[in-house]
Amino acid sequence: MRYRLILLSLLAFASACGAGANTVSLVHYNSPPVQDRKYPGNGTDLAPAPSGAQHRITADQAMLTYKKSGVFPGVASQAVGPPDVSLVSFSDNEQGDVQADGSIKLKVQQVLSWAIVFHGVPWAGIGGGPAPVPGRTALTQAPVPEDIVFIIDANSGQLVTAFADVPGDNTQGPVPSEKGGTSSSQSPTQAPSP
Amino acid sequence: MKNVFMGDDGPRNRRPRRLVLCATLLGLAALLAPTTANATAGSKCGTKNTNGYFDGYRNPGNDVWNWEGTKANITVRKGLVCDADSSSSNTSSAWAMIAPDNTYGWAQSGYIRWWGSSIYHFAQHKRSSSTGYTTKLGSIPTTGSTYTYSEVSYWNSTAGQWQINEMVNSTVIQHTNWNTFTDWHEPLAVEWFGETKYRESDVPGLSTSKAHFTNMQVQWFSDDNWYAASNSALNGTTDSSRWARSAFSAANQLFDIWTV
Repeated sequence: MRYRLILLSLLAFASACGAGANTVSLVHYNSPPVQDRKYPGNGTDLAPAPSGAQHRITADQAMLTYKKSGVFPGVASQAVGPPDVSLVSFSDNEQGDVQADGSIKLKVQQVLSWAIVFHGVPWAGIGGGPAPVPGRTALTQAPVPEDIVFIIDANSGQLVTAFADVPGDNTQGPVPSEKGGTSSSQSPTQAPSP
Repeated sequence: MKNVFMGDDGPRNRRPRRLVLCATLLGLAALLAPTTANATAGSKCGTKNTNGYFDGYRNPGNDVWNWEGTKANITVRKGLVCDADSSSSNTSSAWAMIAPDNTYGWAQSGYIRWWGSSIYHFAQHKRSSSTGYTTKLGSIPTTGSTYTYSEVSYWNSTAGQWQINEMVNSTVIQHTNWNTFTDWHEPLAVEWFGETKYRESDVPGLSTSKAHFTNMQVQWFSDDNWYAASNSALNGTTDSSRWARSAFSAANQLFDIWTV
């Protein structure tokens, strides 16, 4: 009887410790097989992490970093299903510093990261768009289902970036036209003031 | 007394001991506070304005040969937001923007924060009324420092089209990927605003530490060079008596915004 009580106490203690550990990750998430996921709208690329890549940060710790950041709050409750959390090789092929010769030195290339992806979040941007034009009815920005993505460095644990976009939304399309789509062919009537 | 008892500095992540200390100090402060103290960035949020509340200036341009880019130096100030909405739509931001005349799209960069978050550089663009919103965060700026936020038109020789870089200082955060002059209705408008979604939230800046917009410039369509912004056709907008802006100085291309 005494041993049973001791055993129960130990089980209760272990259970309490376990509950404490689980508070790190209150949001359930999926860990799907990683496939290359691109967001052409903002130049980001979530490629599968190299096989056997070493990382100091766990997926749970990455989730904690995301939650503590306060960035894009409330998306978990608006997303379709739980987020996907995957170890990826993250590249941002647009963010970079302009060099003296006009080229851009990219800042984030193939960084081993945890990608936390919330799917299908009704997203209408983080502002109202342009200010309403006087005399016109203000446009209401309609939400669009988008991915909300948090990138956490898998070694430093820092938030690398967060973004919202439609995956594969390649709105690009080479339009062989220079300036003048809706312009007239007239010259400026006034030279710009220096 | 503004912003001392209200607002959103999110105590959620603080240690309990600190919470107790804070609660005690707040209680004492509340006892000592004058009853006439204004409450800004209130605990309650009223009706959300989905289109946003704006504080700053817009220049719609007056012919298609006007401009294709814009920039401004903006001082980073923390704008508190009301407490009752901790969603992504409760924001306080300041930014520079270029947009088509019909306002169906835009490209912008600036800084932003949410309830309980740090301030982040951000960039965002939208091609048209039927496309998605492309939003990306940059690094965390230093409060009180000034950064140049610019939307820079450039020729993408690979794509064979004019695009817009959304930048913070010399860093491109992201860029548009369509031809500005075929997709967007001209003339393009340039905007420099502080923005929030609730009357109970603050735009960045207080009367004692205003958010300065300086060195406002436009990139000219005809030669792609930069020129000082003028007050020709400039429209000021302040949607609430809670916020204020100073007059635009045409001589120095600057103005301030703040929460009253």
